[in-house]
Order: sequence, then structure tokens, then C-alpha cells
Amino acid sequence: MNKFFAYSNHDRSFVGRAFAAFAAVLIVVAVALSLCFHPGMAWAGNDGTDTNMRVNDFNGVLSEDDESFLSKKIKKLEPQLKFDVVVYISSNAGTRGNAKGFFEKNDFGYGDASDGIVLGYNPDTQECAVYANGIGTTIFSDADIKALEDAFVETAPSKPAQATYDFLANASIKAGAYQGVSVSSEWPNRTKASSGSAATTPAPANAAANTAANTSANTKPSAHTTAELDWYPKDPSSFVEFHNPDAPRVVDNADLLTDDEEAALVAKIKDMEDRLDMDFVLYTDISSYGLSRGLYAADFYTFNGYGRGDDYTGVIYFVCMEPGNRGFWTAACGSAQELMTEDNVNKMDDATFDYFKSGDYAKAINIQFDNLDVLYTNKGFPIDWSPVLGAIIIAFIISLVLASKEVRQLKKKMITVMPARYAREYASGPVFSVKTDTHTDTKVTRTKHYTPSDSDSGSSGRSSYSGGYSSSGGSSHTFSGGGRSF
Amino acid sequence: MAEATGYSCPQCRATLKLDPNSGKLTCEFCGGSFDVDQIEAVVDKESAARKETERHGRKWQQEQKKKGQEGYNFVYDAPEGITTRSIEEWEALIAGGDQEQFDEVVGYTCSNCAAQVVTDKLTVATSCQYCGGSVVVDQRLTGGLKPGYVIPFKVDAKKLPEMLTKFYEDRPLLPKNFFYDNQVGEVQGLYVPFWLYDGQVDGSATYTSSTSRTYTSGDDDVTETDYYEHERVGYVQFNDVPVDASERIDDDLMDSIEPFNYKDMKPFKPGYLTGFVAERFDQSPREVFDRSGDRMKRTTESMFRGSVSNGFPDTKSSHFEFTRAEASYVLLPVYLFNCKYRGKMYRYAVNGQTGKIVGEVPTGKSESRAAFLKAFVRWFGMSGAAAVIIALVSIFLLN
Repeated sequence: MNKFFAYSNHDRSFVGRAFAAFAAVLIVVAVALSLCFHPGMAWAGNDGTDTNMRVNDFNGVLSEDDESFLSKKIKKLEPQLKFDVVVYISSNAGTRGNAKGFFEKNDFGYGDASDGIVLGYNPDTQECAVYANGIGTTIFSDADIKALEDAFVETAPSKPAQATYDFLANASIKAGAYQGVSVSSEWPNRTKASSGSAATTPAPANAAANTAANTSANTKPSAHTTAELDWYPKDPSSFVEFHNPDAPRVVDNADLLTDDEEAALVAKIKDMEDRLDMDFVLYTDISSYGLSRGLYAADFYTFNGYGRGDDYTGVIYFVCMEPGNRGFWTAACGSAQELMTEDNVNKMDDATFDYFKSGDYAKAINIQFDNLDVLYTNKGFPIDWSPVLGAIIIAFIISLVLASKEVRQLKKKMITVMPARYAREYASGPVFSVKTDTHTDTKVTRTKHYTPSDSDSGSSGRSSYSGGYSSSGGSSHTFSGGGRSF
Repeated sequence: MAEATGYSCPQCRATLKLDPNSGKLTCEFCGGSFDVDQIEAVVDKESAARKETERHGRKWQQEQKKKGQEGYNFVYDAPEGITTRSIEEWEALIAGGDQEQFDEVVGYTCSNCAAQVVTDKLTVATSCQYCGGSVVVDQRLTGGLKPGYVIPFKVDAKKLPEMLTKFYEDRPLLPKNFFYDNQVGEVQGLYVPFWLYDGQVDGSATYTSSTSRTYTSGDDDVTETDYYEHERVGYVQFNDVPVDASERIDDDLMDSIEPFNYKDMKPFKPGYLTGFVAERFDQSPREVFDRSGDRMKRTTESMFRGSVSNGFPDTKSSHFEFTRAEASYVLLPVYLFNCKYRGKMYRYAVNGQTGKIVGEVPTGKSESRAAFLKAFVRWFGMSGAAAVIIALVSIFLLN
């Protein structure tokens, strides 16, 4: 035996086998996870949509019991109704297009015409959209759909289960009535929706789709309105879209940048635009003039003629400094929406949030445009390998500690001569004549929880996100983007 | 000159030696093998016969004296006695002992070859430097100097090299060339004198302790701490705590070769000493009591504290004292030898009953570094691979 090495061949082969087994388990776990969490394809059904369920809550807003109960309840009525009524709750929801896509790609709908209706609710932005398919377009008028949406949005933020219950009830009762089936007795606790008659004022064009960006969370009572803006059309619904290649790329109405910083940013943006063939705009202002930051950014972009090509491709970065409504929003228009995913928005917002919080607005803005440059130049952010480097460093340190401990154990083994300090092996007992354990005192100390403020001071958590929403004018202008308060 | 006794083979009268493997007295010349009791019976018979001869001799001497002629010397018997005594009893016994037993140097006549064998004051058994025969110094095994028990050697000295090799192989940081460059000195099989202490430690102690729990109540984090006081009064008994009674033998070495299995302990008979060197005590039970006393007290304190179930109690007050301390005198088997490596002596001891080896060994610097590097590579390989896989999975999920 080689005296130089402490471990026999038996020990080494055991260590090798143990390592191989551990690595194999980790690889199997990694493969299994990758199959379960395939990114990007929200409609393929492998994102967790259970097409047996008529209520799919991807955000955990409803309890499991409520979700299961409501889903089973409406599904039980389908054979009578010959009509699907579906609700889904997701951070991607909130537009009619999204709702339609969800309905179609998951094969909802009864019969050959796929008769049914779906409501999609976005709990982050508190917007929803209803889409009717097949005979549903006959059963439900636009006004009916608007009423269902309004009713849901009014109740859902505080009582999402009740809102879902009401929608399922009202939609199924109306569909049943059309089919000559009464199911109202199945829904004893519903809140009745409007009768569905077209008594309301016709909604402005794209108003339904625009709920994506115009939510109560982002719209605060404001001293300013769009009426005071000379570039804002009086009747957005009759706005005629146009291109303005000379529109200024940096509009710093909130005066966050110095002249030099502004000039440098203009130069940076020009360079980006020349390389990437799309518009980039910075817009800062003291208010969002009664609109949400997302909608206002879209309107500024649309009504000032930004964007290239038929779909007005480009990105606008809006910083609002209105007290109680301070925040930033990145909106991509046209084909630029493809890369403006929720993940990418969050990555960029994570990089700038702390600078906005600390008041270093110039730094934050420059970082944002640098990140936009990287995003669109590389068609995505490069993979951040720093976790791997960090893991290697941690493994290195752990190995140093464990190896030192092992050598200390070996050195201990070298010492065989030492004085005996105890005599336990020769002892019997102890035998106690008195053995008492007395509780003498109790002391209680209390400390208050730290509760973070829920005010509009902003948080470094996830950004709000909306995909595929329109500005107040111009149906060619669709936007995707997100942002945060600070 | 005092007469020394060597056990002679009843078949060929050669000197018998104790075989540790079989526990019997064997004759290297005629191959005879005898139980110790068997030989003792022979010796007793011979002794009785010698006494009868002496009695007849004295009678004959007296008759000769009457006739005006000389007679023989006679041998006195060793008194029988119980060997577990209190420390005070031992002190009195030792103080009142025959001074001749403690003579610095004693010369003996080897019963095998009649050569004059000189021993030091501690030796009770040795071998004749002329014929190699065993020599047991009877007069140092009588009265207060007579051991009560002995654990005979069970480990054969011939097996020591193999055992030492295994000992070195289990020391992975040994310098590579220690195996080849060290010189092992003469191996001495020695019966070492030990005191086995029986004792009782009485104690009383008061300890304090606390336990905490934390929970949430409304908006508050609440911490509740309960305080306790623990009272203990009792005792712990100890049996046969060994302490070597030889000043020249290293105490730590003798502590380290524990434990001995007392089940093999036998009432002392000189026959067990043949073939080995044996020494009598030169430290009284009182002189070395503190070594066992400290162990017993420390153990008692630890057991009292360990009886408190709440974590790590603090001692509020404590008092421990001996209410009983007795000792018995035994001889325990030990092999002693030295190794010389690069001019330095390393001491070794082997438990002659169990084979446990203890000793000083050098630690090689390059061997330590190599062991560290080997361990680091192994740990880094495993943990690094696992960490990279986990990091890649997390990157894949996030992207």
C-alpha cells in the first residue's frame, strides 16, 4: 500500500461513485425543470394551463379551493349551455388580443364554432378584457362586454373570487337565456351585471384595449390634464397618424438633465438610431396629465410622430416627476415590442431603480439607454454568467475550509500520547439524593414588526407590465412595456 | 547473597518462560508446556520438601551441633494478605516494611547457572545476563510489596514489528522516509506497577439555566425566556482507576495505553513474571493519588452538570470531596521501546494485553501539504461541479 496517500483504492472509488450519483441527480433535476418551465410560449399549454379547468389562476390570486370550486361549477353547466365560459388570471392578460389568443390556443369553445366567452384579468395592472367567440358574438354585444369588464374591474382588486363568481354567473345566465336554459338558480350569490342594453356612451376607439395601460393603480388625481398640452389632440379618436423624423429625441420637460448631459444623450441616441434603424425617445415631464404613465408615454410617442416604418417602430422612455405619481415607463412600439418582454423590462428597471431612488436621474437615464442599446443590438440581453463565477468562488472557499478541517483531523490522529483527564469508564452513577429543577422566573420582551410603507414610494420588486396596448389615437400604434414607481 | 527463584522445568530442569499466547510456562529445551498452577504446585511441593529437608536439616544441625558440626540456612515465608487497602493503610505498611526490601542494589544467585545477578532497587523480575534464565526476586514480592493481581502478557513480542508497521500506516502524515530511516531500540516487555484506585466522590451543586422561544403576536415579535435553578446532591463511585506507580516511566504514556481489560486479571503469582522484566512501585498511593483524584473529581462534576437537561447550565455553587479512597497494587503488562529518527528519540508503549500502541510520531510538512492539496482537489471537484450545475440551472430558468 502506498503510505503516502491516506485513502485506499476502496475509499477513492466510493468517493467517485458518490460524486457521480450526485451529479446525475442534479442533471436529471435540471432536465426535468427545463421541460416543465419552457419560456416564451404562453399558448402552447405547457405553461401550466389546465384546459380541463375553466378558471386558471396563474398568479395565485384565488385560493385553490375557490379556483377548483368555480371551475367545476361552470364546467358542470356547459352541457346545458352548450357554451364555454372561461376566466384566466395572468400578468400577460388585459387585452382583447391576449384573451382571444388564450381562448383559441387552448382550444376552448363548445362545438364546431367554438362557442364561448373568456375574461382575462391582469392583477398587476388591474385591467381586464373580455372576448366572445362563435355564437358568443351574437349573445354578447359590445356594451354587454364592456359592462362585464367594468363590473369585474370594479370588484376584482378587493374581491377577486366574488368578481370571478359574478362573471361566470352573469355570462352563463345570459348564454343560457339565449339557449333557452335557465341557470340563474345555480348562482344565488351573484352581483347582477347591467342588463346589457346599450345605454352607455359609445366608448372611444381602442378604449377597451387601452385599459391595459390606464389602470387605477397608475392614474392618480392630477392637477394637470391633457387639455393644457398644445400637442395633445382635442379629439384623439380622429387623430391621423404621421411620421416626424425631426421630432426631438430628448424632451426634458422635468429638467432632470444638464445641457451637457442632454447633448451627450442626443448624440448617443443618434448613434443608436443609425445602427438600429428605429426611434429612441427620452421624455420627462412634471406630470402624466391624468393618464397612466404607460398610456401617456404611448400618446406622446403617437401624437408627436415618432416611429419608423408602417408600424412606427421605436422605444420611448418616460420619466414622470409628479408628486404621488413619480415613476418611469419604457414603451416599445411596432416590431420593437418583440424584445420588450416582461423579463427584459424587469432587468432594465432593476438596473436603474436605485439610481432613481437616490436622485441620480442622469445616471439612471444613461444606464437605461445603454441597456436599450445592448438589448436591440444583441437581440436580447447576453446571459449573465456571474452566478457561475460566484458559485465557483463559493465552492473554492468551502473546499478550502473543508480541506483544512480534514488535515486538522489527520493531525489529531498523529497524536496518540495525551494525559487522561476523565475517568468515565471507571464510574458508576451518579446517584442523587436531591435532584430538583425549579422554574424561578419568566421574562417577556416585545419588539414591533417593521412594516414597509405601502405608499407610492415605489419598490424594487417586479415592474408593472403591459403587452399589446394602444395609445389614445392610432390603431397602428401598439405598445408593449412596463415600469415602476420610485 | 539472597537466593533468587527461577521456575525450572520439571522434566529437564531448564528455566521456564511464560508464553503470552498460551498463558503457560514453556520450556525451550524439552518443549514441555505447563500451567502456572501446575508449576506452582510443583514448587510448593518442592518448597514443602525443602522445608521438610531443612527441618530435618535443622534437626540434623542441632544434632550435629551437639556433635560439634555446622548446618544449613533457612528461608522465611512471605505472609499472605488482602491487597486492597486504604491509602493510610498503604502508607503504614510501606513505612513499616523490611528495609532490606528497599536496598539499593541486591545481588542474587541465579538458580539456573549459579551466576551472581545484580539488580537495582526496583527490579522484581529480570533475566540472568549469563544464561538468560528468568530471575524473580522473591523478597521484593512479599509483605507490603506483594502485588495483589497481575494481567499476564497476551501480546507476543514477535508480533510487534507487524503491529508497528500497521500503526505507522494509520498515520498518514508521517514523513515518507520515517519507515526506512528510523531505528527501533530494544523492546522491553515490562510489568509496570500500577495503583488501581477505588473511590467515591460526594458532591453538592446548584446550577442555573434558561430556555427561550420566539413567536409573533399581532404586530409584535415576542421573546419569552424562562429561568431555572437546578439542585443536585449525590455521589459517583469509581472502581480501579489506574495510575502507574513508577517514577521513571512516563505518566502520559501509561495514561494513553488505557484501557486494560480487568477480566483477564489474575491473583498474583511470580510465575507470570518469568521471561519478562518487572518492577515494584517507587511511588506510594498517596504520592500519585492526585492524578486519579483529579480525574475522578472532574468526571463527577461533569456528570452532575450533565444531569441538567436545559442546554448549557451555569454553576452557581459546587462542592465535591472524596469520602472514600482505596488502592490495590497490580502489575500490568507493557512493552516499551524507543525509535531514533534524525537524532531525535521517540518513545513508544504497547499495551501488553490489548496491543494498543501509543507513541510520538513526527508530522511531515510536505506530507501535510500534499494531504491538504489532495483533500482540496477532491472537495473542489465535487462542490464546484454541483455549484456550477445549480448556477447553470438557475441561469436557464431566469433566461
